[in-house]
Amino acid sequence: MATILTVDDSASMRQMLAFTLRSAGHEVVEACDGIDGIAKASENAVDAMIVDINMPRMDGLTMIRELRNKPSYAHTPMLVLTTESGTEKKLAGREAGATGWMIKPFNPEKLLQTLQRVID
Amino acid sequence: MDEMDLEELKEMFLEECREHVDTLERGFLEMSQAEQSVDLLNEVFRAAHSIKGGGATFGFADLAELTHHMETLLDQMRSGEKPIEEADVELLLESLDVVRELMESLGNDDHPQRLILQERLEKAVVKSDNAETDESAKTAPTEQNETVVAEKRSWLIHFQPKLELMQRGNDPLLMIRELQRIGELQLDIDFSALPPWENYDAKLCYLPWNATLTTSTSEDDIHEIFEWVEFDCDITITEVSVEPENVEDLVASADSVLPATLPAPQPPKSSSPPAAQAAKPKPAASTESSSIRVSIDKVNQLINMVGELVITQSMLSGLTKTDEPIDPDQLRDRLAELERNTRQLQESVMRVRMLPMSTGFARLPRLVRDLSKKLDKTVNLVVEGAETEIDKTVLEQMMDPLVHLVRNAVDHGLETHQERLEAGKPKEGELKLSAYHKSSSVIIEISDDGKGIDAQRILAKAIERGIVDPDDNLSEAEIHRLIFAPGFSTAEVVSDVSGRGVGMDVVRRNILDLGGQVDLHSVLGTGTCVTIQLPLTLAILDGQLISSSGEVFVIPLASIIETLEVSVCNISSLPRSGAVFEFRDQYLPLIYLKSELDLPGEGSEALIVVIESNGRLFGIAFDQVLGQQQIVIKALEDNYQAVRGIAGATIMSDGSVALILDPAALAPEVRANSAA
Repeated sequence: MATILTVDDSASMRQMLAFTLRSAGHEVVEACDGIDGIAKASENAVDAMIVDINMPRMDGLTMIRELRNKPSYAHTPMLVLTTESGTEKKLAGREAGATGWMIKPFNPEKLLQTLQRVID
Repeated sequence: MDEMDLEELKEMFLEECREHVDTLERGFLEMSQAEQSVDLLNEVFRAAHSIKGGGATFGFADLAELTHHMETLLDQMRSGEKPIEEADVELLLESLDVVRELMESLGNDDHPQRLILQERLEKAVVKSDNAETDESAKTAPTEQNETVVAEKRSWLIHFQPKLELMQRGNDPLLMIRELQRIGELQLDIDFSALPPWENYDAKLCYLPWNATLTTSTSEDDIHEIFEWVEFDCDITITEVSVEPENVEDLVASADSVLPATLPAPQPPKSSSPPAAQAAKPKPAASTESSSIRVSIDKVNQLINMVGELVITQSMLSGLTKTDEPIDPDQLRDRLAELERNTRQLQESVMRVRMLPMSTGFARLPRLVRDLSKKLDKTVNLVVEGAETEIDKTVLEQMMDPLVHLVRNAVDHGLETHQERLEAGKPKEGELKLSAYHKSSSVIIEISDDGKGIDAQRILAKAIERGIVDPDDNLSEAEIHRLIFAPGFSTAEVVSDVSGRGVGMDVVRRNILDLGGQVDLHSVLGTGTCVTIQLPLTLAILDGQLISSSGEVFVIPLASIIETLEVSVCNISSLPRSGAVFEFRDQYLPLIYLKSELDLPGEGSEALIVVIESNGRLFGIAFDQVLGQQQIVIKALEDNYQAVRGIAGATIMSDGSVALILDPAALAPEVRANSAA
């Protein structure tokens, strides 16, 4: 079981994620935007992150780029959760250092399965 | 805590949606003005995006689809690809109305307009030649749990990583584990690619491998495992058309065979919530939301107050711990402290229910815009004091009257361009909404610089309708107030904006029902100002204490017109409709509290209180006037049962319980109906 940081500006989306992740026994840390995400990532030992792209203050890709540069998060799985699935967006995610992406809307079971691909 | 209901999540999502819809509306209205900031466009885009994403997740597919189309258009506006034109903003506003309706129907009903709007939105979007196929348009939840059991097939997988593969958090080991989970795996790792130890870098990925996988999983699903590393490795997956039992031989012929010994992960437990699309239909959609969002400040303040209360309580009990007699001065100090804490705590709790007026005002710019367009007037809406806080319930029930008043002001108050220019006023009319606190009330003013109210016309109409007598000598202010009289209408042309003018008395009644008051001030040719005074909260009420047969009752002060002595009243008993008494040249029905509520004991019934309820006057006879007091209303239904004529109960300062009379239910006509 892992500690997952979820970063999304929508509280309902965070709740839904937390609900899904906790049902599989994961610990969940929530953040409401990129800046909060970076703060929470430094306060907690996080095993993986699920990050929304469009957020106020700091978007998800900027957050991932910043965290990737920190030694403690250089290899941590960071998944982008987004409604945008075009190749261009995927490349932008990759360029920022995202591990992979998941598509909103998510099916809870599928999300857990997908997450399993990057956590021990 | 963790067993959170999906319905609750949906409710939460809808709550958020309402905020996003408000943001969108505000944004769209600002967009149509000359300069738009990038921030505004970003904010609007994000709001549409959030509704779309959440909509799809929580099973509101129609909502998601429509907002997706809006978002596409907004994205182009944001990037400057498409100039912002009035027609597009109009289209977005129309779409927003449908979004709102879809939301309130909880995704149960499709909207007849939705597909048409989507088509129009699609047309509005600038087509680019190299537009990639937009996968995100497919917002419908993807099919899961296919039940077809596919036959097992074997695949040969060749995997050649780039050195930096692990630098984005991917790990080939986990991919191997995943392959193992979906089928039988034979793995052949090429260790020759490892550099000598002195050159080895643990952060790099060196090892290529070949694998044979026998599985019933589809080719697409196998590819999906490598989805995230497609740019970080070379991968080929080819089907091998050999019988499964020969696979081992095939692999065994390779140079070094390693059995895959990684532990297979447990598949995720299926205790996850049911798919979001399995929406339970809800019978009725209510726009009044039953939850409230409270800023952390207020909660912190509340916690602080409770903390202080606990300290005071322990100080008080400390006084009694010693054997020494209690020092009265100290006791008095502590009790004063306790009283202060309690009052502050009460205020803090009340604040939790308070919302800024801006949540209600938010609907109005759109209304004003639509109206002024329709009527060909130019209106500058000015809002002041939007941060003024008011009880949530009061605010919600206040909205209909407020909308009505704003509508009236634009329709009847403000003049057309022509009329304004002729009157020497600027072409643009001004409508001002302001809210502020005054002692324990909230005042809302709706003022316009329009043509004002013609007192003579009102008076003529009122006389014609028999509302007043021609001989009545009314002041101008009294005449103005006549427009609140039931059935009064002055609109010479019945417009489709303000309807038939039946509204003002309804407005007044609604405000009175909330325990508020409404007044109007108008100067012909200069403008009109309607002032609404509302209580800060509904949970506390100014009450008049009275007694009858030794029982104490509370009458809401707002509904009392006057208190009289029976001896000066001319009371007549009528055979059928009970008693009546003379009050200001008219006869009003009279009820006796003692017989009405079946009270035991004797009473003088020497006083009459004249009550107004729903625009009708009647009298209640009782024994004694006791005083006025602010009271906290407790529901009777929760603790006992509903009693006709009683609105609730309150606890008096001596600890006894007093019942609060419900004027609306005691009014004689209501009694007749309920007895029938």
